[in-house]
Amino acid sequence: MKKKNDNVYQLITAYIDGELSPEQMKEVEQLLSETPEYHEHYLAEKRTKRLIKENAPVLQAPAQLRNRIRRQIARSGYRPSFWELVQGMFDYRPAATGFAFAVIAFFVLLPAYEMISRSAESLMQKSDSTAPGAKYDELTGEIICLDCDIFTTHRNTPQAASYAEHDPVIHHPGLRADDGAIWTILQNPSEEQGHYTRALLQKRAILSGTVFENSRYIHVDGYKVL
Amino acid sequence: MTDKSDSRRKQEEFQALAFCHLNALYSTALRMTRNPYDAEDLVQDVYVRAYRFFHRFKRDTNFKAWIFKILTNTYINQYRKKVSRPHHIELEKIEQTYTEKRNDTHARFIESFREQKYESLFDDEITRALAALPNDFRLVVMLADIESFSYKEIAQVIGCPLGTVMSRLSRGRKQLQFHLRDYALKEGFIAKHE
Repeated sequence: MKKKNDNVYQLITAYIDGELSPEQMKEVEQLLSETPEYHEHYLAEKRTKRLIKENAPVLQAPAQLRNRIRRQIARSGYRPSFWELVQGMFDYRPAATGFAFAVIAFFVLLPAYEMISRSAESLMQKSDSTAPGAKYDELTGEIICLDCDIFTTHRNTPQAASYAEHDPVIHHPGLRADDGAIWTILQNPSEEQGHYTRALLQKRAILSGTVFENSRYIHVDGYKVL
Repeated sequence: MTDKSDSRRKQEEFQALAFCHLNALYSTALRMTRNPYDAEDLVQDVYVRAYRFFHRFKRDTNFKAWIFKILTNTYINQYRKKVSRPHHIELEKIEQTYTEKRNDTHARFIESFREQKYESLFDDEITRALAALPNDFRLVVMLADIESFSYKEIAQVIGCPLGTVMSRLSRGRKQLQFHLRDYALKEGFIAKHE
C-alpha cells in the first residue's frame, strides 16, 4: 500500500511539473478527483513548489569572482585538442603541413619502426628458449673435446674405454669454464659451430650465447679467442 | 594552425554562453558547500574546467545543463577529497599534538566565521529548509524548482535515471513541506485551518 502511495505521489510530482504524457495526466486527474487525500497532497506540493520558486533568493555572484574567472581563462588560453590542431594546420597551410608530415614520417617514424622491429628480432633471437634457467650470457674458459676429456679423466674405468676410439675428426667440443664446470656446446647441423669450435680446441676463449644453466649447455652465438 | 583570432572568438563565445549562468551557478554552489569561500573556489574551478573542455560541448545541446553537470561532478570530486583529508591529519596528530590543537581552534574559528557569513547571505526560511534536506534531495529540488530544469536535464546533470529524479523530488518536496509549514502560514500561502 505504501509503495502504491509512493508511486502515486511520484506521479503527482511529475504532473505538477508537466512531465507526464496525456494518458498519464488523465490517469492522475482521475485519481485526484476520486481521492481527497491525493488531492490534498497535490495542493500542498504545488504550494511548496511555488513557495520555493518565488521565494528562494538567487544571489549575485561577487564582482571579483567574475574578474578572477576572466583572468584565469585569459591566462589558460584556449587549448584545442590534438586533432583540432592538426585540422587547423591543414586548413592554414595544406601543402606545407602535408610536406612536414611526410618528412616526419620518413625521418622519424620509419627509422623508429625499423629500430623497434630490429630490437624485437634480436630479443627473440637471444632468448630463443623459454627453458627454465636459460639466459643470454658469456662464458670464459678452455675449449676441450668432451670425449677426450672423459677418456683422460676416467681412463681406467670400463665406461671410459668406449670414448678412447672416437674419431678425432668429430671431436665433440665443450668448454671447461674457469670455475671448473664443464659445458656442452650445442651442435646444430644447420650451423658451423662444430667446425669453428673444433678449430679452437685447447685454446682459451670467451663464448657468448644462450646459456642453459640447469643442463650446462651453451648455444654459441659468438666467440673471442684470448 | 589555430590562429589567435580563432582562439579569441572561442573565448568570447564561451564567455557569452557561460557568464549568464554565473549567478545561478554561484547560488547553487553556495547551497551545496554552505560556505561562500568554497563556493567561489568551486565556481572558478567549474569555469576553468568548462573552458578547457569547451570543444567537447555540442552546440545544439543545452549549455546550462552541461555546465551544471560539471558543477556537480567537480563538487563531488572536491567533496570526496575533503572527506578523506581528516584521516591524513589524524596520522600527523601523533607528532604534532600541540600545533594541531592550536590549528584546530583556529580552523574552527574560521569555519564558524564562514558559516556566519553564509547565514548572513541566505537569511531566509527557504534556505534553512533546503539545508535540512539530505544532499541528494536538496540538489534535485534546487535544479527543478529554482533552476527550472526538466527531469531529463536533471537526470543528465546528476547522472541518474528519470525514476530516481522523480522519487527524490517527490520525497524532497514532502520534507520541505513539513519544514516550511510555519513559513507558509506566516506568508499566507496556507490558511490556519489547513
